[in-house]
Amino acid sequence: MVDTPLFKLNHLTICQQGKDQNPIIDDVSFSLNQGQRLGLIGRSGCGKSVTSHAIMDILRPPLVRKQGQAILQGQDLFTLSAAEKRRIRGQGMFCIFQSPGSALHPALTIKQQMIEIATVIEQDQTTIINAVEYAFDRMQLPIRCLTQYPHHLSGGMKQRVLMAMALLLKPTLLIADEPTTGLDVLTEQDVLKAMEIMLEETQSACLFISHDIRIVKRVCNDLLVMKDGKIVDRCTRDELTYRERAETTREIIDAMKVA
Amino acid sequence: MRNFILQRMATAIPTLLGMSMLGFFMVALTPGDPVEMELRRLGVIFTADQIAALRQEYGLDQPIFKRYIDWLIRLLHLDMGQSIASGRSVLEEFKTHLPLTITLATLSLAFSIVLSALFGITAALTRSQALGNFVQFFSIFLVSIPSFWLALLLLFIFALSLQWISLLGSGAWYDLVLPVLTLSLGSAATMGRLMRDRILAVMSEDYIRLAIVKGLSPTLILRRHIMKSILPPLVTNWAVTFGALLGGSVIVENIFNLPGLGQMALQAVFERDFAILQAYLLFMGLIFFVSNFIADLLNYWLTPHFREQSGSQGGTE
Repeated sequence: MVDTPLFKLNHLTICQQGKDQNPIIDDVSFSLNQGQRLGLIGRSGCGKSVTSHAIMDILRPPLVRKQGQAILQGQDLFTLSAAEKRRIRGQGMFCIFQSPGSALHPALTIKQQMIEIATVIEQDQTTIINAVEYAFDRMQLPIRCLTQYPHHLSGGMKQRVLMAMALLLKPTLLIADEPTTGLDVLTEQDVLKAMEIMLEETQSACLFISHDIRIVKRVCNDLLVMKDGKIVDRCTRDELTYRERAETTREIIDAMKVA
Repeated sequence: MRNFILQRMATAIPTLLGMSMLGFFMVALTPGDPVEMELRRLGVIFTADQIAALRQEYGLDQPIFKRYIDWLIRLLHLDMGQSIASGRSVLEEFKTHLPLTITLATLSLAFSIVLSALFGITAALTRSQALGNFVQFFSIFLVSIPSFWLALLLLFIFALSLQWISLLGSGAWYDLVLPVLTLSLGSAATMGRLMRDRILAVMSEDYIRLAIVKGLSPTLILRRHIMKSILPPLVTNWAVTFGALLGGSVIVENIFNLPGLGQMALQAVFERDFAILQAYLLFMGLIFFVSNFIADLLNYWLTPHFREQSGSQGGTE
């Protein structure tokens, strides 16, 4: 059992429906252990987000999964029934989306959107309210945010609301899809700090998707580099400095040094 | 909230004034003298003096602008004049005919909402191409056929062929079944399509995906997240539909021989019963205005994110 990873993605291939062109995701495989943080980097449009959507099984049509397995704790997520999938979503796996602006329901208060998690983790009203307040405290969010609507909050706050949700759900596998996109450097710091606290507490395995190698280096020990839907390089944080990496990796390193 | 209501109330004044003008002049400027028409209809032999006297009695000898002002002033006292044909006051006539039409329109609206929700939600959630196509085809079919034809078809099937109901109507509640069906099928089809398209659009929104990823049950997602997003355009659509159903009842009431506002209005057209027609037109405008107002209020409440656009500027870090 010790050798079996917590999560394993095998040969994931995704195409556009009705088209036999080049697959958008081409035979992607990787695995994650308990508490491991794996970074997935690559240019915009290389298929990072699509990979995460495929794992959560929320691909937007016309994208379809052609083949692949996603094994979380011995269960292949793709073969589960809708009801079984729903049971795994939330506490089994959770995803923090790229754009916090559109990830929260605009017409529901933050409180409504937090409290409804009680139906997933099966808690009564008082327990969940205490848990929400605790999570907000850990994420350094003021309690008054609860009665507000998403449009009252800044981008960084919205992202931390999503982190607070993860803190409540304590998912086995967390996917963070570019959580700092569109944030200024200082807010980015805050969000990453909050994420650090959250991950420490939930002990989730984390797939961290980003195009920013600085951030990935800060958060993750291990890295995957993606190009045109393929994994082109795998390395640890310390190996990143070596020059004998794949071309894409070198390009990314070079680009960041210029910046 | 109060500001919003007051603002809307303020816009009501010019709108209603414009509607009253349109209603009054449209009828008053129509060719055909109501007095002469009425006397001829009664088969009375009349002299020029008699006509002049009657015209004076109804105030028809006054200049048209003075008639409008007089009418407006009397309107403020809820006095809309008298029907030339029946001699009863217009208010009386409305009191007799309105309940039936309101019932008809309300039932039709309720039925189309239920039907369209059934259509729209199943078509969207099953993502079944066949069902989607069926709804699409059915809605185009229902939108394209005129209501008088549908009414006659329904009468043919249920009254003539199956003989489930009497062609003449029996005064019982089930006389309303076919009229309600006629009125609601067409609007249910358009509304169902709108609902399906809206649900499909909202389903690919990030916040619905977050709700899915959270592990919420499909019923909770549908009831809370999806409904709250798709309701605003639907509410507006319902308001417009309600007005259209009231107006559409003219044809249906005449075919099914129901003594509602529509029948009264058509009768008034034949008889150049100007007082009734002017009041009818104004009433229709008022209904459209009021139902839109209610829809706006509901939308105001449903969309907190549009409510305060000018207010706060994002969050405070």
